[in-house]
Order: sequence, then structure tokens, then C-alpha cells
Amino acid sequence: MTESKRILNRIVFINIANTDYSNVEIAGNTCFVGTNNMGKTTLQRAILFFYSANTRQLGISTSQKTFEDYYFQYPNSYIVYELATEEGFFHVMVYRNTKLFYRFVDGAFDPEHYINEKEALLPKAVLARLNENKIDYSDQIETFERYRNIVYGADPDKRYKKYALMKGNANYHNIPLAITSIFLSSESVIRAEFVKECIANAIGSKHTTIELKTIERQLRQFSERYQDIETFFRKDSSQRSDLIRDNFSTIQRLKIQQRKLAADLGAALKYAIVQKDEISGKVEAKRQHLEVHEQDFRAKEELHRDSHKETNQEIGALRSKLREAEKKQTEYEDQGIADLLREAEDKPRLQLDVQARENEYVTLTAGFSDVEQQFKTLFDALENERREFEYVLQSQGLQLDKNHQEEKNQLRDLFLKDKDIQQGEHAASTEQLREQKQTLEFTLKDAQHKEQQLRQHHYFAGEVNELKEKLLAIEKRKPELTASLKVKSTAIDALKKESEHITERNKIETDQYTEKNQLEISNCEAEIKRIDDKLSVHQHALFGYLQEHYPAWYETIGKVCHEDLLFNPELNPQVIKKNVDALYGIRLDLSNLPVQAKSLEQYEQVRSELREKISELHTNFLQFREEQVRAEQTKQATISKKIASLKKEIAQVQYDLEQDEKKAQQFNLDLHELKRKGEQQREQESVALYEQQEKLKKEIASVQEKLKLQEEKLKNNLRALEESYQEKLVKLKRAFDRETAKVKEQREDKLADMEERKSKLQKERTTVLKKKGIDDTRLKKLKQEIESLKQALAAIDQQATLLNDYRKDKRELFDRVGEFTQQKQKLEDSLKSADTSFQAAREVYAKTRKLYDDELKQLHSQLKEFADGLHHFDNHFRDRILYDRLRHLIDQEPAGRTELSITALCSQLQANDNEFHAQFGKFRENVSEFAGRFRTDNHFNFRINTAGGEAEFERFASYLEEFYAEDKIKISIAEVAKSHGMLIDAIASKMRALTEFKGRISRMISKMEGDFSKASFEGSRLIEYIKLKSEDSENKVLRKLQRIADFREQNPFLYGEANLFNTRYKRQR
Amino acid sequence: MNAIPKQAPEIFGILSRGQFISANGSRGKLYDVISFEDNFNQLRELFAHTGYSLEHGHNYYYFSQSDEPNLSIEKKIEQFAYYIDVMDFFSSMDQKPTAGTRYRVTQIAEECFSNERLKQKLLALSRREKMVDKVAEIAGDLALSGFFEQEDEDTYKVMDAIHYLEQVITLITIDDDGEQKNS
Repeated sequence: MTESKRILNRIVFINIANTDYSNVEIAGNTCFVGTNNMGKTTLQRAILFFYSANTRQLGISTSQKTFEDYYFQYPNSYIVYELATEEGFFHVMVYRNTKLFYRFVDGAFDPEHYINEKEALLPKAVLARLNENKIDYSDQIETFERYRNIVYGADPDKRYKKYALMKGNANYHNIPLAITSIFLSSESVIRAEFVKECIANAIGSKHTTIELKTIERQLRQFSERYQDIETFFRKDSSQRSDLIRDNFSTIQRLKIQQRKLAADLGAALKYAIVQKDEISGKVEAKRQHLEVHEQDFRAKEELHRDSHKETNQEIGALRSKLREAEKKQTEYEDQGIADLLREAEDKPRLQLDVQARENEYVTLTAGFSDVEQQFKTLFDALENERREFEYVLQSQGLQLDKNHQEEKNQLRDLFLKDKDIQQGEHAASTEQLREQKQTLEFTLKDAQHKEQQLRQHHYFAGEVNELKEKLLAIEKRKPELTASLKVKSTAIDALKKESEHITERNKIETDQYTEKNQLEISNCEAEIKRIDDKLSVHQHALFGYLQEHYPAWYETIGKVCHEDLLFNPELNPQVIKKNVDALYGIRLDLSNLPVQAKSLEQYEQVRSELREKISELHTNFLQFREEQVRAEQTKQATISKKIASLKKEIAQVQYDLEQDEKKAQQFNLDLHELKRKGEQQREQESVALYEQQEKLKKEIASVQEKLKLQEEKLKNNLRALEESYQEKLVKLKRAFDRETAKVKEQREDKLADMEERKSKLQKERTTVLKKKGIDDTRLKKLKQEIESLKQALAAIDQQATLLNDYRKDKRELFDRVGEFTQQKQKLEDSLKSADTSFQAAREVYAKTRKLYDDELKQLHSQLKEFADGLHHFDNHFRDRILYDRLRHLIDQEPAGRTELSITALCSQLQANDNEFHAQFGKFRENVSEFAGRFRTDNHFNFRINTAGGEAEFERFASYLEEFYAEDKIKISIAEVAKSHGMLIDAIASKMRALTEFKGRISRMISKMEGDFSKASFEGSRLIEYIKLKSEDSENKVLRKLQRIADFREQNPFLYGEANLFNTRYKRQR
Repeated sequence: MNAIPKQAPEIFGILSRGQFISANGSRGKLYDVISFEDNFNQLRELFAHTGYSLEHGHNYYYFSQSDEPNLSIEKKIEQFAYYIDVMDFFSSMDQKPTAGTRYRVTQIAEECFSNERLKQKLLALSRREKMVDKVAEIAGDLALSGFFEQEDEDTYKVMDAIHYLEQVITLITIDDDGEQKNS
């Protein structure tokens, strides 16, 4: 019987770790001796790797390089395990091509196959050499599992049976585990525990395996879910969730409010624009109406004033006529106009009477004209004598009179001289006062003139004009600045659009690039997948068959067969006849044809090329992105610079505008101040002038008083002089009267004498006439009558002028007094009525004016409100980000009236936004903090995608609300409890199944114990006896699982989903 | 009197390394242990013998030392100056560093690409070549100190201990002459 001997005979390192080449024979007992870093552990691990085929459980710490990276640093790195069998040798080559692969080579290791001129060959070249030497080798073994199956004889493929170390055992897994434990054990002895485990594992069945990983996973899952629930019920979390919901409702409210305010603002803005024009039109129309109305009233007022003036003039004229009439009437009455009129009325009768008497007298005296003539001569002589006497007397009288007059004149001259002296003295004394007074009056007039000038004087005219010019300049500059501001804002908008366009274009380019890249990557991946698919099935396909049974197929079949056929697993190839180079019996000359089929290495190379291409595509994309970002940043930087420059300019312009506004305000204030100062100065100067005037007036009054005193004195002096003069005059007159009386007496004596002589003559004449028979009594009487009538007529003629004047006045004035009075009354009445009607018109005008003013004021205030609102919006809102954010709402809203003004809406929007941001900040913090308390993959799905922005936080809050509203925590608890129950059930059932073998193990141990006890160790110096007994496992995990199973047995209803038996218990908990 | 919690050595091990125990981190259980009933006072008393004073902030615990060598204080101040810059960097991001916030390194790097100011700040903070490496470096620094916690390769979570940083930064006052003062 041939002893089954399959052992690891040799290990060869080619380009492994720090070794170029090493060859270690390890058949039998081997001791590794070497200094540090010689490769003892490296070799030891390589041995372990042969048995375990697991890169992880090799005792390599996480801080060290991985097995692959440490051992297989080059594409021509190999570990070769040579195995000795009962029949000979075979070896296993391990190499790396992205991952580790195995090949079993039927033959002893020969360095010639691997090394050429001290240079290790690539796997492909090695295979070529093996092919050259016709050494059989296996396909590439790609998985550790498959390798282990082959080595431990569990692979179903019969071709690999020869490479197995032991006969087939599906539960071989314990062997590599045991070997691993031995290798990694730091102790020098193997404990019974280890043996025990090996035994237990050896008899283990797949059906009763407790997959601790699964349990660990399930328990971890349960633990995590339990932790989630626990976290959810923490006080902090609960408070935080309440806060989140509060914040969320506040945010929602603020958002709604913001939308409403934005809509209101949009409506208000459009309404303001419409209303501004409309109100401006209204204001203009009202102003024009007011102007027309004012002009009408002014015209009426002018007319009224003129008519009033005329009427007053007429009334004045009438009044003066009436006064004149009254005055003249009094004068006429004083002159006895009534008597004169009466006398004047008798004039024609008197004239007739005179004529009649003269005719009568002539008729009576016609018969004695000689006597009459004689006596007439006598009478004439007497008359002449009387006349002569009267002439003498008259001369005497004249002389007397002359003397009297001379004396009187002398007195008068004297009086006048004295008077002149007095007056001269007075004049001399008053002249100075008058001059003084005149000077004062001049000064007063000068002061009054100054006052008048003062009233018309414009103080600080230069400064005021200068300020007005400056204000005008500011007013002129304002539209220019505003226009410039608008132009710059438009430029900024254009630049922003350009910037957005660049971003958009880059985004599109990135998307296109990504799409293209993705497409290429997808193609590569699809290709890789195709290759993977091919490689995964190649062993069962024609390809694998050919590799195994017909190594030279590349030169024949490889040139004519499509690769789809090569990798079709359903072809079931079979060799019918060997060494026949024909295609279905037809021979082909393939010498000129290229090889179509690819070798495995080629496929792998293609695959690695594709992977490199994918990697390159990724790199290219990142490079493209970097370049694009750089280019975009450059462009954006230029735009930003321009925008910044424009903003700076805008800021400058705005600053200029503000400065202008401030200056304008300052100038207006200065103007006001100057006016005030001017008025103050005017008042001061006026007061000074008034005081001066008062003083002058007082002085003038004083001088006037003095003058008056002088005048009084003069008057008194003159009166005294006059009295003295009058006294002298009286004395003189008395003397003159005495002289005159003497003369009169003389005259009367003489006249009496002459009258006597005349009467004597009369008597003589009467006597003569009587002698002639004529009576003259009648004649005398007639004569007297004629004389008296003539005297009466002369008197009437003397008053004729007066009477004529009177008649004229009577006709023109006195008779028309009533008419004048009536006219005056009429005029006064008309004046009154005109005044009344004008007053009414004035009141109407005032009322209308007030109405217009009120309306204008109201319109102005509305206009101001709209203009201020628009101005506020343009200057304090339009530039803000908030406007950009709400633009879609603001711009879309149609015009409409709003309760609040634009300024108020802007302020409220801003305040609302501030509040929103503040609330959102808190909300965000609360959400982050709340979500942060849970695991990233918590089963409540409480997680935030930070790239989602604000919407993500809101989605979270909505979800949280929904979570609370639907009480999802209960569902979650129920689910966790259910899964927990199922897990316990599963563990319990598994444990039950596992412990089923307890009896079997005990029996086996008993048998072994029996065998050992039968064995005799008496001859042995080392072993006295061997005793085996079964003990309960010390394995903590197993114990724990057993406890779980026990718990399950004892409390079948106290866990898992809520049921009749555990509800109360849970409630108590 | 309750027994000293069995986690005391673990707690000491963490805190004595200058780290924090935050309520919202993976060491939340330890936080719960310290917060449980009178454990805080007991632990405080226990650790007092070692020269450390157990302190608590808003949802976090840490050790303080009354007597420290000047060199150590200087190092701490230098470290804090760095933290201030790091906080400034994170505070300049869209997502502010509030407790519980999760940051992805790639996301931060992407934001830095699009935000020049942020990029400049990041450039000043790390000398690494790639943007992602820079971000990973500073996030790692914060994670080492317990202000952040790495959840997976790309994700970091802000711990409650960040309040400590915030609090200290708030205490810094700058006078009119620009000189900083620590109140």
C-alpha cells in the first residue's frame, strides 16, 4: 500500500518583498534562523497563505502594507509552492495581475521557466515557456475559494483532483482555520481547547452552522435601531424636534408673509408708477384750474376796485356839490337873498311908476315954463351957492379927511413899523428854530427814506445769489447723475447676465463633457463587463476547453473562430480526432491570417487598459473641471472687477447724489438762515430807525413848541401893538369927528340957511304962481315920488350881480340838491351792493381756493408718498439680494392698491427677511443638531443632504411633522420588536440544532477516552496517561447564545411584537 | 453612594488625551454614563487625584488642568489660533458648523472651487496639493481634537464639543487699538 504523502516541499520567492530570488526547501522539520528583517516572518506568512489562501488572516496589522502590496510589488513577482506527492512533484505559482491568481503546474519547479538571464519573466512568457516544454498547467484560478477547493479536494472539476492535498471533504474549512490558529498562536503549546474546537468543527454540519456574522449583523442592526429609538426618546431630541416644528411653522408663516408682502410691493410699485403719472397730471390740471380761477378773481377784483373808485369819485363829487350848495345857500341867506329877490321882482313896476310920474310932471309944468325958468335960475344959483359951499366944505372936509388920513397913515405906519420890528424880531428868533426844525425834518425824512429803503433792501444778496446758483447747479447736475446711475446699474445687470451666461455655458459644457465621459466610461465598463463575463465562463466554454486540451489552438482555431463561439458555454466541445488541422474536413492555409482570438492575458491586458482608460477619463474630467473652473474664475474675476469698479462708480455717484442732496439741504438751510439773519438785521436797523425817527419827532415837536411859544409871544405883542394903535386911532377919529362935526354943523347951518332961502324962494314962486293961479303942491309931491322911485331902482341895480349869481346857483345847485342826494344815495347803495357781491365772490374764491389747495395738498402728499416710495425702492431695495430673490413675485404682480406704503412694505419685507434668516438659522441649527444625534443611516431616515440647501431642511421638517403626525415611532418600535423577536427565535432554533450534537460529541469523547484508557503509556517517559472529558464551552459568544435560547424557552411570549402577554409587562417597563 | 462607573478608565483614557466626550458622537454612551445620576461628581472627585478636573459644557465633557507649564499653554494658544482660522473657514461656508452638521470632504472641496474667498482661506490653512486633501487635513485635525467625528471615509460630523470652541472664540474681545484680549 502506497503511503499517501502530499506535503509542501519547497517555497520559491521571485521578486517577492525585498527578495529577488530565494528558494527554501521545507520538507520535514524546518527551523528558520536569521537576523532581523531577513524574511523569516515573510516566509512563514507565505506558508500560511498557501494553506489558508486568505490575505487577511495572516497576522498583518492594519498599519502595515497589505499582503498583495508587500509581497507582489511587480508584475513579475511570483511565489511558487512546490509540492511533493507520492507520484512526483507539482507546483503552484501565485502572481498578481490587479489581483492574485493561481496556476497549478504539473511538474517540479524549474527556475528556467521563470527566469531568463537573471530577469524574471512575465506570467505570459512563463506560460509560453511551459507550453514550449509541454508542461501541463491549469487555468488561471481567480478566486481564493476555488483554490482552496482544489487544494482541499473539494473542487468538482476532475482535472484538478491531482492537485488536491487530501481527499474531498466539503467541511475542510476547519483545516485552514486550524492551521491559521497554529501559525498565529504566540504560545509554544497547543491547548486542548484548540483540539476541542477542531473536533467540534470537524463534525460540524453546514445545516447547523450558526452564522455569527449574520447574527452579529442582525444584532448590530437591532442595536442600532434600538439606539435610534432611544435617541428619539431622549429629552433633548424631543425638545429639539418641538423647536424644529415651531421654527418650521414660523418659517412657513414668514414665507407666506414674505410672498404676500412681495406681491403687495409689486402691486404697490406698479400702482405707484401709474398713480404718479396720473396724480402729476391731476396736479397740473388742478394748478391750471387754480390759476384760471385766480386770474378770474384778480380780474374781478380789479374791476371791482375800478368801479369802486369811480363810484367813490362820483360820490365825492356829489358830496362836494352838496357841501357847496349848502355853503352858498348859507352865504346867500346871510346876504338877505330873500328880500333882494322880493325887491328885484318890483323893479319893472318901479320903472313903470317912474316913467308915469315923469310924464305926469312934464304935463303939469308945460303952462308956466317962464316962471318956472326964472325960479329955476334962482334955484340953480342957490343950488350953485350950495354946491360951492358944499365944495368948500367938501374941500375942508377933504382937508380934514386928508389930515385925518395922514395922521391915520402915520399911526398906521408907526404901527406897521412896530409890527415889522416885532415880526422881524420874532422872525429872527424863530428862524433858528425853524432851521433846526427843518434840519430835524430833513433828518426825519432821511430816516423815513432809509426805512423805506430798508424795507426794500435785500440782505446778503451776494451770498443768497451764490447759494441759489449753487442750488441751481445741483438741480442741473441731479438728472445727469441719476442717468449715469441708471446706465451703470444697467451695465452691472448686463455683466451679471454675462457672468450667469458664462456659468450656464460652463455648466452645459460640463454636462456635455460629463455625458460624453460617462458614455465612454459606460462603454469601457460594458467592455470590461463583457470581458469579465467571458473570463468567468471561459473555463466551461470552448475557450477553456481549448486552453486545456489544445494549447496551440491560437494558430488554428484562434484564426478562424469568432470569439462569441469561443465563450459560448453551451457548445460542449469534445476531441474526436487528435492532430487534425481541418475545419469540418476542409484544410485551410492559415499562415497569412492573423490570430483573431485573444489569450487570457490579452483579455486581462485589454481589461486593465480599459480600466486605465476609465481612470484616465476620470482624471481628464477632473483636469477639464479644474481648467474650466480656472478659466471661469478668470472670466468671473474680470467681470467681478468690472462690476466692482461699476459698483464703486455707482457708490461714487450715489455719494455725489447724497452729497448734492445734503449740500442742497445745507444750502436751503443757509438760505433760510441768511433770510432769517437778514430779517433780524432789518428788524434791528428798523428798530434803530424807528427810535431815531421817534427821537427826531420829539425834537421836532419840541422845536415846534418853541415856535408856538414864539408865535404866541409875537401874537401877544402884536395884539398889544394893535390895541395901542387902535386906541390912537380912536383918539384920532374922535378929533376928526369933532372937526367933522364942526364942519357938519357949519354945513347944516349954511344948508339950513340955504333951505330957508330956498323955501323963501319957493314961497315967492308959489306966491307968483298963485298970483298966476297955479298950485305947485302936486308938483312937489310928484318930484318926491320920482326921486324915491329912482333911488329904489338904483338900489335894485346895485344887487343885480348877486341876484344873477344866486339864480345861476339856484338853477345849478340848490334846485338839484335832491337829485344829488338821490344820486349819492343810489351810488352808495350800488357801492354797498357791489361790495356785498364782491365779498361773496371773494368768499367763493377763498372757498374754492382752499378746496383747490386742500386737494393739491392731498395730491402732493399722495404724489410725495408714491415718489418717496419709488425712490426708497430704487435706492434702498432694488440693489439688495432680497429683491433678486423675490423678483419673480414682485415683477409679476399686477398694479393694485395696498394698505401699506412702498417704504413700509420694503421695510417690512426687509424686517421679515431678517426675521426669516434669523429663524432659518435657528431652524437649521436645530435640524442639524437633531439629525446629528442620529446615526447617518438611522432607520427613521432622519438625515440631511447638505448639498440640498434650504429646501432639504424644509423637507426634513415636513418629514418630521409627518413622522409625528402619523406616529411613525410606534410603527418603528413594533418593527424593531418584531425583528428582535424573530432574531431571538432564530438564535434559539439554531442553538437547539447545534446542541443536538452534544450527545454525539460526548459519545465520541467517551469512545476516545476509552481508547486512551486502554492504551498503555507505561513505557513512555513523557506521557503518563491521557484523559478526555467533555465540558461546557467557555466561549462567551456561545454562552450568550445559549442564554438567549434559554430566555426564549422560559419566556416565549415576553418579547417581540406586542401581544396579550407582554403588553402589561412592557407598560410596566 | 453609587459605585464608580466601570467605564471610568475608558473615559479617562479619552479625556486625558485632550479629547472631548460629546453627546452626539459615537461616544454618546459614555456621555450618558457621566451624566447619569451622580456619576459626574464621583468621576470628578476621582479624576481630581490625577491632576485633571472633569468639566462639562453644553452636551460635552472635557478635562482641564489648573497648573500647566508655560510651554504647554503656548502650544495650546498656537493650536487655538489655528482652530480660530479653521472655524472661520467653516463658518464662511453655506452650511455653518453647528453641532450635528455633517460635512462631506468632496462637497467642501467643491464649494471651495466655486467660492474664491473660501478657497483662499483653505489655501492659507493647508499646504497639501489637492483641494480634497487640504479639506481632509483640517477636518482630520478637528476630528483628532474631538470637535469633529469621522463617520466614513468622506463624512465628518460636528460634535457638541464645537460649543467649546465657539465659547472661547466669543470670549475673545478686540480693543479699539486692534489688540486682542482674552477676558
